[in-house]
Amino acid sequence: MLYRTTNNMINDRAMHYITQHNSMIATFQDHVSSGIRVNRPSDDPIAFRQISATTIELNKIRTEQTSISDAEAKLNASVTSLQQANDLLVRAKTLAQQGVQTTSAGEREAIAIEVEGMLDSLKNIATSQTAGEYLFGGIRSDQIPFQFDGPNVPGRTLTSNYLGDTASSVAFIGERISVETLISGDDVFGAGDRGEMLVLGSTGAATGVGTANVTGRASLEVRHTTTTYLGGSGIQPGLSSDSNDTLIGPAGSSQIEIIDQSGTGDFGTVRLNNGEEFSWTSSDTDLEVIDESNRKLFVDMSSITANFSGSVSFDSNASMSIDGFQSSVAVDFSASQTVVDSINQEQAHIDTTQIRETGIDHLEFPGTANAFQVFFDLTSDLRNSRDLDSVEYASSLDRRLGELNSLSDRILGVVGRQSASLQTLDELDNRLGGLRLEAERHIVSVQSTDIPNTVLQLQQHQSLLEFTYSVTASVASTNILDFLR
Amino acid sequence: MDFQIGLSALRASQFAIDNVSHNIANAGTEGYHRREVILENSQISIRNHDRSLQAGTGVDVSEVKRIRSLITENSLTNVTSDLEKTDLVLDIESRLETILERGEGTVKDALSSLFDDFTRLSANPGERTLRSSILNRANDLTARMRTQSNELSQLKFNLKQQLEVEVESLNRDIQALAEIQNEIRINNGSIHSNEQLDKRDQLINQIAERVDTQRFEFVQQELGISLAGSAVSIDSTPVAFETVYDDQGDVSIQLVGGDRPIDFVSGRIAGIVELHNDVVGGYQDQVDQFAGELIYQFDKVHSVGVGRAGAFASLQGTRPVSDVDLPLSQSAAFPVTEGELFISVTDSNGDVRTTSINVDPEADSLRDLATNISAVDNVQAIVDPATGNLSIYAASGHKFDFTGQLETNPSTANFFGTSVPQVGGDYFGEQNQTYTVTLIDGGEVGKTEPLSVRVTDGDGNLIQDLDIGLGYVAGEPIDIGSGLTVEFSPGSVNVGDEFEINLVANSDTSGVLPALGMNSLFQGTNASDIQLDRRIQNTPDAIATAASDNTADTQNIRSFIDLRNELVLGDGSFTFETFLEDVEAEIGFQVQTSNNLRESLSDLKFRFESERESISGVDVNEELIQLTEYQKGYEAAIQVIRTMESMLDDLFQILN
Repeated sequence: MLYRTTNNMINDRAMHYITQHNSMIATFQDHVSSGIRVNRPSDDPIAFRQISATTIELNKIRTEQTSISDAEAKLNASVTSLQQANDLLVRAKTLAQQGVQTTSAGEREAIAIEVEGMLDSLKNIATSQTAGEYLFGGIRSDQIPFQFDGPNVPGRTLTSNYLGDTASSVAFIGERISVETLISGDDVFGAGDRGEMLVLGSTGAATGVGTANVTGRASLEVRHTTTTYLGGSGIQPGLSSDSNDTLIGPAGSSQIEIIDQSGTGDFGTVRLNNGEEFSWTSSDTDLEVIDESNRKLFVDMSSITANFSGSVSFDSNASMSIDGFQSSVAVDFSASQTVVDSINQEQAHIDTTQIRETGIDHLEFPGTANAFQVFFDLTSDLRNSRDLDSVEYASSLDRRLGELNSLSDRILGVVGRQSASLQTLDELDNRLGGLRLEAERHIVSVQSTDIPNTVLQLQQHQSLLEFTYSVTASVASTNILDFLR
Repeated sequence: MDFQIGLSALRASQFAIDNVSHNIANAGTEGYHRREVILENSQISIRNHDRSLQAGTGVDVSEVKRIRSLITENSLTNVTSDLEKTDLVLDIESRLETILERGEGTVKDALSSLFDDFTRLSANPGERTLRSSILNRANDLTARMRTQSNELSQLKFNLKQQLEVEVESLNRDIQALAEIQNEIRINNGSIHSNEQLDKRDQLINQIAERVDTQRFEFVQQELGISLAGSAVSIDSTPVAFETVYDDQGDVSIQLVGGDRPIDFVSGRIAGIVELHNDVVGGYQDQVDQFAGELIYQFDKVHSVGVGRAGAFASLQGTRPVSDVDLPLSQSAAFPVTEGELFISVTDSNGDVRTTSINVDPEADSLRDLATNISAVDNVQAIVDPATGNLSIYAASGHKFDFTGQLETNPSTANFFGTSVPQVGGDYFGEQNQTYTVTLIDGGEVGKTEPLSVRVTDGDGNLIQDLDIGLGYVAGEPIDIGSGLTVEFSPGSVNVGDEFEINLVANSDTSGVLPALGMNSLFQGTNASDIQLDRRIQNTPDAIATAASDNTADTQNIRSFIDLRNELVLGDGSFTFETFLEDVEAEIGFQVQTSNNLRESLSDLKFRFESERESISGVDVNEELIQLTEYQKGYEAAIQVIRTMESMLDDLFQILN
């Protein structure tokens, strides 16, 4: 308890409380004017930390929403492109069916031209970009993902090289969500599951043992090499035998019957298998003999043994190639022979046991053509460039239809995956939107000034300040001097 | 009949009026204690009719008393000491708060923006402006950290300077106190000693503003002083203090000629020492710890990635070792642990060879490491002993990186068939390991049935059995899990043929790359020297966001983004951002606590000052009343003298 009160005490007390009230008034003025209660950590450390953490969270949410928007833009571009590709496939299937049904070469050509146009569109789609990045190059998004060229060997399909990467580009959104944005074009437009090799043609070649790795289609060309006649008939290969014989086979698979009607080897008849009889004289050095299957041998009859009559066995050898005879392999009439495309190093396994004739067979490797090759093959087939008969023509178009269906399924599958990603992103975006609102609300509620409460407190301190002024003036004006005078 | 009585009354009143005037004149003087005149009647013994009677002889001024309460004075001295320290601490902590949290544009904001940009880049890996933005953010971050560090250093420097001034002032005040105490002894009892005592009190309070001070007052105005709990001499050779700095730069106060630090607990000097060594120094440590970990973690990720240009022809380290011949555990800027470093060398055909180098930081010096790296085909590592830096160069036509790339064409030293095996994909396992691929059967790929291949891990555990015989399309990749594929070209394979696949999840388990600043994002090791690596500075494409040179490869971005949520600081308690939040909250709490303490001490001081004012302060009204009282006494004394004079006049008329 204080017993004495001095003038200094009155003044000090006045100053003390005036400073105190002014300080509080300044604080409240700041809070009301700025609308913010917590400006510095010391204003309210716990609230400041909450605000700080929530602000970071809010910025993360905003960034993630921006990333979602960016990823969605890519996915939408991708889905749109793929839907366009699927539209092309649907139209191509319709055209293929029309191709089967029509017999008009002109109409087939018109359809083929339309498919060619669609192939160009498909190439454009596969090499489309968004914001300067190729949609279907995987992580190698700055390079054109596909390179196209014509068939490198007659009978092969379109050359299409994928230059992109097999890995997809991944956008990371949030702590646990990753979304593939730029996907591998090979996964979208590439080949499907390999089926059994088909051999179309008349040489007698068949599918051998082993799994081929040739893609699309190829031509298997069988060429005659040499014919060797057995026994003592005196028959020899004709002058053009090597290049013109079309009958192929090992000894015993065919025979030629010779009758010397002259008894001196000067003339007679000759028959190949069950074909027609041909007359010969000793001056025939390159006589063409044809069997019932129109297979030919060219023979030299100049040295027929006198009085020879009988069947002659012979070997007619051949070689085969799938790269236009840039490389070849001798036919050994075995169950499985491997023939290699020397350009691509691809190989196929051929059963050559029944090869009996030269010619070009068409090999098909179902499921191995990519989307561009299927379109290319479809135009070829519509034009019947392999000169197939009507049944095989229809079958080939049916196979193209099947491949188009597989491609469509695959593309729709990718569209489905990307649509699911879009949906996930949409849901995440919605959830983030809610979190964002909540974070903003939380920041406002913690950081903002409670205006009514603050104004009341401001008013309270203003009143106290006025009271301090008033009471100080009153007390200070009272002095004993006034009474002593 | 004695005029002396009246005269003494006249003198006493005069003196008392002078004292009142002095009090009124010093009513507003800081440290002034009001004086009170103590009057004493003067008596002599007079004999009258054998009876001993006493009559007064007047009045004497026995003392001019300085009105004060020692308890109050001491309390005020103590609270002054505490308040001065708290004021100073609050002031500096407020500055620290501003340095660490300056509203817009904090280190935390810059770091958050950097992480945000990495997240955005993963959705737009080809966007060059985002890469530039990342560089700008990183630049901004480093600039803010350097600014923060610089401001903390400047604050510490200012504290040092202020401490020197305070210690000098303290010594001066102690010297002045000794001198005044000497004067008090000389003037003991005189009227001048009150002024000197006031001055002494003021000096004691001045000393208390600087250090915790306890006064002991004795008879004869003797004084004892205790600073920081120890009595100190204030005689002819008073004590003096000096500042001493240790090896860590921490400051302490010692007696001149003393050998141990004095622990002041209050006053400005105690505050400065505490702020310098613990508070500012502590925050400096935290800021450096944050910066060091940030540099290490970001560089750890960056060092094992590549930019858009892919692998490197050469790399120069930016973080030197202290001695190229000392083990790395003693010489490297960041800790290096025993582990492996994988270096991938790519030839002109794109074939990759990934080689593991063992790193033993207790045994290997930088020179040893360079020798081991140089043992890898087509790379050479060179140590510059002058700078302590490592450089690595690839042979002509080759490039290298530390991505731990998969060897697409594995070594076929133990593979004797004509078929060529190849490996593909991206390994996403979490451990470094080696798979072994062994042929169980022999035959032709794609033809022979069966043609089994066994894949086992490093412990011999079966990963997968494959069939590459009939039904297998030669050259087609076969998925073996963990993101990997193997394929066999057409050709033959033999029973027992085998090859190994080195799988690298972490290509630098030793941390030697960030320790040496190889392919780093940042330079420096702490907040004062952190900056963007020169190689990156103006080359956004050089930011190592990928594991390959493919534009949209976001593999390494994931690692940068993951850093955001990793508990890398505070012994695994904090992420980078929560660490900064914690630092902000800590300084916030400190400022708040100091502010509350300051308010409390301020109120206490106000109370003690009021108490002192109540006891020692001059009340003008009271003095005026006393003035009136002494004026009346003076008038009465004159009247007494007049009466005496009249009586004497009457007596002289009788005699005449």
